[in-house]
Amino acid sequence: MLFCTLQLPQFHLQAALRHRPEAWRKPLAVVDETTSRLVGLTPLAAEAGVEIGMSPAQGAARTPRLEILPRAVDTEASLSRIVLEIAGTLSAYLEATAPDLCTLDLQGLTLGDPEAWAKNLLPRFEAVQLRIRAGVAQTPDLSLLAVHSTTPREPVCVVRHSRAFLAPLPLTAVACPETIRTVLHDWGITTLGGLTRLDKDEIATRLGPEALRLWEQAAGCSRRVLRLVRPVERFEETFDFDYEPDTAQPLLFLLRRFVDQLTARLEGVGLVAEALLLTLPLCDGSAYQRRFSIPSPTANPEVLFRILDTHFESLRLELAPVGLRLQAFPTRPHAQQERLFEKALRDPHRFAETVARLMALAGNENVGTPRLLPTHQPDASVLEPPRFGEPPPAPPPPQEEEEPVGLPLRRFRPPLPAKVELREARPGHLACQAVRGTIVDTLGPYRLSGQWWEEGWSTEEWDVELEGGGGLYRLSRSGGQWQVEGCYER
Amino acid sequence: MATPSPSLPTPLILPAPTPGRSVRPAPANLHHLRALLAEKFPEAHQRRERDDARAFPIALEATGAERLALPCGVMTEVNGSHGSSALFLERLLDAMAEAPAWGALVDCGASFDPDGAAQRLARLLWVRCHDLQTALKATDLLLRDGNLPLVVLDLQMHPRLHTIPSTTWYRFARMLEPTSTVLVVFTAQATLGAAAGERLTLSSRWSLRALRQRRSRLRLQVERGEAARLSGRAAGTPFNAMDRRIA
Repeated sequence: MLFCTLQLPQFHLQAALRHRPEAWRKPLAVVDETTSRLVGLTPLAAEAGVEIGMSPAQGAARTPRLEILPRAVDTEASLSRIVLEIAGTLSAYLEATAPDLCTLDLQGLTLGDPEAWAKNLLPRFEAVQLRIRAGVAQTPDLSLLAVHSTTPREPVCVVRHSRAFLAPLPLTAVACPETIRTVLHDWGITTLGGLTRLDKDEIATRLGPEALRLWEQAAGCSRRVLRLVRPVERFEETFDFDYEPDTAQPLLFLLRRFVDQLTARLEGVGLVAEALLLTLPLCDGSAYQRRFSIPSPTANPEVLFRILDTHFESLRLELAPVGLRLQAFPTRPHAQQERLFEKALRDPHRFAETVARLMALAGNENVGTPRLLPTHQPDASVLEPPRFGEPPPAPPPPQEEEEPVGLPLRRFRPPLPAKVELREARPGHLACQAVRGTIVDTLGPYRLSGQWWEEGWSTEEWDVELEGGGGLYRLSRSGGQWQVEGCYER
Repeated sequence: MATPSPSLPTPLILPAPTPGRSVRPAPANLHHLRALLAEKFPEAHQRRERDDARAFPIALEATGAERLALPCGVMTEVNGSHGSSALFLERLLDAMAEAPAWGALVDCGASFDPDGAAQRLARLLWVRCHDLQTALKATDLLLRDGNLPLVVLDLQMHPRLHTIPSTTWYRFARMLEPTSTVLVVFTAQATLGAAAGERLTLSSRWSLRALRQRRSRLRLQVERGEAARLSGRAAGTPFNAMDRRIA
C-alpha cells in the first residue's frame, strides 16, 4: 500500500505571485495582515537576510528594496482547489491534509516505478503555473515526512526503507509533546532512530500512550485513516488590483493568463468550457458581470480569449474595476452527432464572435433568435441569444386550426398614431403620417384582451383595404386611440 | 488587335511611349493591362460558373412542389409589393427550417412579424436595425463571417435606397463570390443594378380576400428581371422551375 503527499512549497508566496510570475526575481515578502508577520519570501529576499516570522519593518530594515505584498487569501483557496482537482484525476481517495498539503491513497493504481510516477506529476502542475513537491511512502504520516524532506533540487522523495529513512530525522520532525521531548533529550535521544532502538513496551510503560504513538511514528508503522474529501470542480481565477486600471489592456493581459490556466486545468481533467462568467468588481463595491455561452464547448484558449477580447472592444464602464474574476463552467466534450442533412455552422466560435459584434453594433436587445411569448397579445416576442449547441425543437405535426391565415404582416414599430373616421361603426377613412385614404373594405373587429389578473390589456383590430389599390393595413383601437399596426400590402 | 502570348514573359509595367512612335490604341492597352493582371493574379480572374446544384431552393407555394432555386454565391434582389415580399420571406424561413440551416435576417426598420412563424424561428438570427448604415454594416459582418447559408437584407420599408453607393453592392457581390452563401435583398424598387446576380420581381397583388385564405395556399408570382436577362433568360417571363427543380 502506498500513499503520496503533495505539497505546495512557499504556499503563501505562490498564491500571492500566481498572476505575476516575474516578481519571483525580486526581493519580495508576503505578510499575514492578521499577525503582521512575514509568511513567504522570494529567494532574493532570503539572500538579503529577511526571514520568515519577521515583522515587515524588520524585513525592510534588512533590505530597503524589499517589496511587501499582503496574503492573497482567495487565491490560496483557489490553489488548494486546483491541487485537489488534479489529484482527483490520479486517485479517488484524497485527503485535504492542510491548505498546502494533499494526501492520496495510491492503492489499486499501477504505478510502475513510484519515483518516475511522481516525477511525471510535476509537469501537470507546472502547466497550471504551480510548483509542487511529492513524497511517496507506505503510510500517510511517512509520506508527509517524505515530502518535508524534499528540496527545490529534489522535489520528489520516495521512501523505500522506512526505518533507514526515519532513523536520522530529528525528533522535531514529528509531532512530539514538549514534556516527552524533554525527557528523551535528557536520555540523550535526539533522533527518531535513537527512539526506536528503545523497547516499545518499556517506552509505553514509562512515558504513556502518547510516547507509544511517537515510537510507532518513529518506526514508520503508525496507521491512520484518511479523511476523504471530494474535489470541488470550481474553475475560477481571481486577481485584485493594487491600482484602478483605466484601460482594458491590463485586464486583457491578465485574462489571457486566466484563460490559459483555466483551459490547462480543464484539459487536465478531460473537460471543456461551456460558459464563462466574467466579473469585474468596481471601486464602489458593485460589480459588472457578463456570462458568455460558448457556442461549441471547447478548451481552446484562443477561442475563449477571442470571445472575451471581442466583448472588451465595446465595453465601457462608469467606474474603474478593482479586481478581475473569471470562472469557467465545465462540461463534458460535445459528442452529439448532427442529423445527416443538417447544415451545421462551419465555425460556431466565429459565428458567436460575429453575433457579439452585431450586438455591439445594433444593441443587445436587437440581435437574437425570436421566441414568441405564450400570450395572444399582438407583437409579443423576445429576442434570445442564439443557442448553437442545442438542436432546434422538432416541428409539431401540422394542425389545421394552427395554420396561419392571410398574408404576413409588416409591422410598423412603433405603431403609427392615426385618425380614423367611422362609417356605420366601421372604419371609413384613414389618415396617418404614412398613409391616407378612403377605406373600401374591412375585416373585423377582432377583439383581444388578456392578463385581466394584472393591469390587463385589450385591443380591437381591423384589417382594412384602401381605395384604388392604396394597400391593406391593420388598424388597432385601444383606449379610444387608433393606430396603424402595419401593412399587408402597399 | 494584338494580345500578348501567355507563354512569353510580359513586363508588369508597360513601356512608356517614345517620341516619334505612335501610342498603342487605348483598347489595346487596356486589353494588355488586363492580360498582365490576369497573369499576375490568376486567382482573382477565375470565372466562377454558376453552380445551380448548390442553389437554395424555396417553394413558391407552401403546399406545392414547384420550387425556385436561389443561386449560391451571388446576390438576389427581390422587388415587389410589401405583401409579396413578406410572403417570400416566410417561404425562405420555410426553406431554412426544411434544410435545416441557420439563417440571418437583417431587418432595416424592424418590420418582421414573427407571429405565425413560431416553428421556423429556432435557427433564425434576427438583427433589427433602425437605420440604413447599421443594416449595411450588419450585412457586411454576416457575409464576412461566412457561416450562414442564407442572409436576408430587408430594405423593403426603407424609402431612400438611392443614397447607398453602388460600390456597397459590388463589395457585397465580391464577398459573396467565393462563398456558398445566398444573399437576398428585398427592395421596393430595383436598386442593386448589375451587382445583383439575380433579380426577381414579385408580381402578385393582393386584396383583402387574401387575408381570409390559408397562408400555405397563397401562391407567389415570380418574374425574372433585368439581371436574369443579362444572364440569358428572357425578362418578364414567369419563372419556370422545370430546369432547376430540386425535388
